[in-house]
Amino acid sequence: MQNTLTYIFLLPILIAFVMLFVPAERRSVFRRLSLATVSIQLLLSILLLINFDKSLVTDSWSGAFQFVEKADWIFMSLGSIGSIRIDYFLGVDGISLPLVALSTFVLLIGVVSSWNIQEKAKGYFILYLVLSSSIIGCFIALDFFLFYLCFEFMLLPMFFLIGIWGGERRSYASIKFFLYTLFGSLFILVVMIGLYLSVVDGDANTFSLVQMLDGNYTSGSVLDPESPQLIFGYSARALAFIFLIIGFGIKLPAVPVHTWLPDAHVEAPTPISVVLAGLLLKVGAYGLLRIAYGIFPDAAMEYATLVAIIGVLSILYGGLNALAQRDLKRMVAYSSVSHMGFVLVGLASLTAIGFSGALFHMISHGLISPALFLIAGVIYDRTGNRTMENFSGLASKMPVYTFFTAIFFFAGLGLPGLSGFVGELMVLMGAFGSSEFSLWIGILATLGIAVSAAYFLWTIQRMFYGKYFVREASWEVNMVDITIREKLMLIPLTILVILLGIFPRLILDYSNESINFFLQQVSNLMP
Amino acid sequence: METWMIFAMLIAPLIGGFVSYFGKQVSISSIGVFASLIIALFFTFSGNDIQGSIEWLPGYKLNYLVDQTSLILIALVSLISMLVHIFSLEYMSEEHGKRRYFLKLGFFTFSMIGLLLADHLILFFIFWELVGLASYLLIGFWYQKQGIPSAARLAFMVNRVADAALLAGILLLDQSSLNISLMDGNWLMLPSILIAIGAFGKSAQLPFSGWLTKAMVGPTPVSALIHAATMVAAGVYLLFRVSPFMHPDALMIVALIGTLTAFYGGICALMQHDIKKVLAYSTISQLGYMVMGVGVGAQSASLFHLFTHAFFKAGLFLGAGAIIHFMQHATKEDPQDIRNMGGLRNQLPWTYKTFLVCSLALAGVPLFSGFMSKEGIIIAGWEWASSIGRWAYVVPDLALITAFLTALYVGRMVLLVFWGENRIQNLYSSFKEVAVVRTPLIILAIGSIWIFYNWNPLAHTSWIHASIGLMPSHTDDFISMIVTFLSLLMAIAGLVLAFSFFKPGSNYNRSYAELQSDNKKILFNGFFITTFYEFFGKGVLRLASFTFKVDRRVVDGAIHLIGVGGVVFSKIVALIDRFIIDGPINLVGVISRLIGKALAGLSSRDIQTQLTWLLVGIILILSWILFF
Repeated sequence: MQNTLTYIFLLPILIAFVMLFVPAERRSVFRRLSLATVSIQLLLSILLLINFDKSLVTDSWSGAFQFVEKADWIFMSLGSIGSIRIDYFLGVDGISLPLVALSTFVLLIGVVSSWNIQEKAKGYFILYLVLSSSIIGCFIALDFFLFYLCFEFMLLPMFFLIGIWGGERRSYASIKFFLYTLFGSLFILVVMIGLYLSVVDGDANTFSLVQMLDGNYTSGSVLDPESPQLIFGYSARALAFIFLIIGFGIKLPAVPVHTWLPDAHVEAPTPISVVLAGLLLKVGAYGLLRIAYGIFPDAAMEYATLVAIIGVLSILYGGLNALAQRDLKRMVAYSSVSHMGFVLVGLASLTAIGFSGALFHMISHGLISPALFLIAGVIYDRTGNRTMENFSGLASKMPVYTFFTAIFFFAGLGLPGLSGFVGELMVLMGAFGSSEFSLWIGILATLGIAVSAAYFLWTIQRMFYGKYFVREASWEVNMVDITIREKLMLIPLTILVILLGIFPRLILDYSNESINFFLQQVSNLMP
Repeated sequence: METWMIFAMLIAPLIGGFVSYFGKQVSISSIGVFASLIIALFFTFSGNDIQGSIEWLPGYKLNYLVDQTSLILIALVSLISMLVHIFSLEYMSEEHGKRRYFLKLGFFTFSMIGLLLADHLILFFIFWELVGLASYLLIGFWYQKQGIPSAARLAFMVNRVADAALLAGILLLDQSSLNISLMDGNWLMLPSILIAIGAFGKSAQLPFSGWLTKAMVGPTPVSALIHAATMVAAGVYLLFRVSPFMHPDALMIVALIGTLTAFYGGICALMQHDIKKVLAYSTISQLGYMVMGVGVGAQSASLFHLFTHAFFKAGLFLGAGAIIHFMQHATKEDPQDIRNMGGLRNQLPWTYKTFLVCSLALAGVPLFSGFMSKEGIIIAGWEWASSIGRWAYVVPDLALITAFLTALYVGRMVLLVFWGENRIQNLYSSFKEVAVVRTPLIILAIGSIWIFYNWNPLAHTSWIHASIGLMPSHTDDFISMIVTFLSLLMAIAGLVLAFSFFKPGSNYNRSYAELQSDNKKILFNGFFITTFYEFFGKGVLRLASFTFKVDRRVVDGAIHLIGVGGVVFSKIVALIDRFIIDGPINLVGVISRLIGKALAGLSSRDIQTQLTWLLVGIILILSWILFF
């Protein structure tokens, strides 16, 4: 199992490099190579899942990670100031491993979904593979610098993938996406530097996330929990936490910094929407979980109510906005905002079940939202249109399509037996069981399940029930039920969504020990 | 072994549904349900409770419990489901999507059995939602027809709102003991009320009752199974299970809501002329009785009524199904409108006989099951009122008035549908009461006769009370005598009044004119409850479009403002850069260019001028050397 993480991480970059030397006319080479690459990644991540020791009990973060790889990477001597040392440091625990597996799976779905990309296929697939590397890198990096590098590097391929292969307003959407997230990253950068100056490994400063999680601060440093420095009258740790909430909150996205998401989604091509909703949002959530909550639990406790309110606001406000949409894809985009609100509430609860719920909800949403975007893509591919009023009674014309739509709509609205319910339920259990904030947060979050039912069912009624009708006569010829390629993507997603809904322990058994340890650490670090 | 049998009992209807779906032979699906029935009966007679648990989340176990109560109800559900399956073989035989239909029926039966097996409230909630889904799918079976999609959605949404309350209520309880059989102590007010709201939603109590009347657009056998006999009773079952732990004040609210709903359903049923609407309001009314029974502390009486009601109401709905099919094949008029019927007892003799038996049970006539179970509830209500105080007598009083109303609308329905002459000329229909139609009707009618429950037709207890070990504790024989007498009187009075209005040969149009006058419209529309839902829904939509406007204008607007601000700022900076920073530099450039130009002029003149300047230059240099 040695170096498996490196293979998963760097293989796409390597293949992308090879692709540079393939002539652009040989279009089908690129997609085949990409498919092979991502399939290998998926196989490797399954290997990791099999070999992962679920019952590993540890007493410090340095023992919590498995498949660890560490090598010197950058070392700079700065004379009297000291030195900068950055490691190539990888590893996974029960929290990140399921996300790695999810990433490889969704990336594979994304490649299949990109199969019909003809225009500038070379550039597209090279960028896609670069994106793939950087997403995986975010989940497995144990060095903050490496994490930040991957986190930032995701923007670049995403910017071009939306800006070149997107819809009508693609340049607006891609620039908005880029600037918005870049702005958020600056906050993270500040915190990263602060942490670097405060945390030591032995006697040298370090970017190691493990050391940061273990809390090896030099006394008197900026972020030392014993005697945090005050900046403008606020504790530096509280400010760092707020910065991280802003930085990762933009990526998540949380209301009110979510407006890049609907635009980016509506303009992005289907496969990019799939990756964006399925994985990029999860990177934000993962950053919150690992970095904001892992390193600053004291501040997290202090601001639990604030985060929970942002979460509830996202749930209800996102849901109401979804209800107001007429564009199917925009509706799905807003439903993502609503769902990611549950992640925030789960984290804010600072309970084991809430954390597990947040993680489970990330995985579950990582399966449901790609499927929803594929569903929106099906209708868009056929007609070039997604406005709900333009369709009616699709159930009689496209029964298989309707079947899959119903499965994922009901998964989205949290029907028991499908994965969406488990995450929401656990988050709500955490919210009601939390001593950090009032019961009303939980009750308001519960209202979210009624709101999500409203927009999904109304969409079913408008588009799928009733008499068959499409707006333009010219669309009629294209209105065929879903193709084999589309089934190939939707069937595995369906199976996973049902399987995880009935046996949530398939995921939770991996994360259980890690999360218990996490919360034990959190309670140790709490003042 | 037992675990596997329980699992088989749960899953058999679903397997039956799948086999019939993929095997293209719909009759197979009833075998699955039959298997569940056999297993349930086997466990009933073997007699001991079985408990088990599933570790659903790490360290979080969901318990299930098979006791006499759940077994009796599972047997009831699978029996009625089987009869409905059989009936549907004929009823749905011409439908295109009948395989889909039977799959959904199987899924419903599976979920309903799961709900009855659950002991842990979360497990209960899981199946509770699944029966809601089954209901949604079956209401929307004819999804292409006008009005049906919105009815299905309304049913799901109303339930979903109530379910959100239920879930919040469950999560407000002590999370370490969510297994009902292991609970003790009393809950606080808030969770009690929230859980009761959940039950009100599913059991169509006020103010949630509107979805049930809308749900009548589904296939009639579905109405019989889901919207009369089983699923709507799930709320009553929940209350039955949890009422020992509920806050006393919450129970009082439950009793009042139940009573009001019973009255509401009864009085609205009186004004309907769609036969399914009559039955739907009647169901709401009877569920009101059951809820009231739980509220006043007579859980066993409620469960008994649930049981008897399942038989006679399923019988009535299936009978209505036969009538509707008959009418569909006979006339182009609305086949569900009882004004178009009349005299059908000649054409549909079996339907008539079974319908009559079930009607008498519903009306609460002695010798039929409904009388016994309803009586038990009213007696308990009376006793409860006497222990609480004067105002509380509103509960048993309204219950008695409702008994009168019940007899009245039942009499009216039977008289208008079956008696007198055919109101449509030359009534001929290809519909025949074949065996698969007849058999379920007869079985359900037999189940509505007193002897099936107790040898004494005036008793209000049965073997059901004995087997679940909850005998009503009567202190006062006087009360039960009075109630028996009064409810008998009410039933007879209602029937007599109905006869005087609607006897054969009476002027139906005139009677209708009286009932249909403007001030009765409110009853015809069920107090406009669904209009209120629509109003509420529109409000939510308006709110949604408002938040979207906010999102576009305010939230995104602020971002744009920042963006535009940034651009403007950088433009200003660019201007500054150009004119203030770059300006002097350019000035230097301009100046040097001017100088250069001027100087360059020197070299372009003719040779004489150049020589002159050369001379001047030399003189200047020389004089500088000489004089300085």
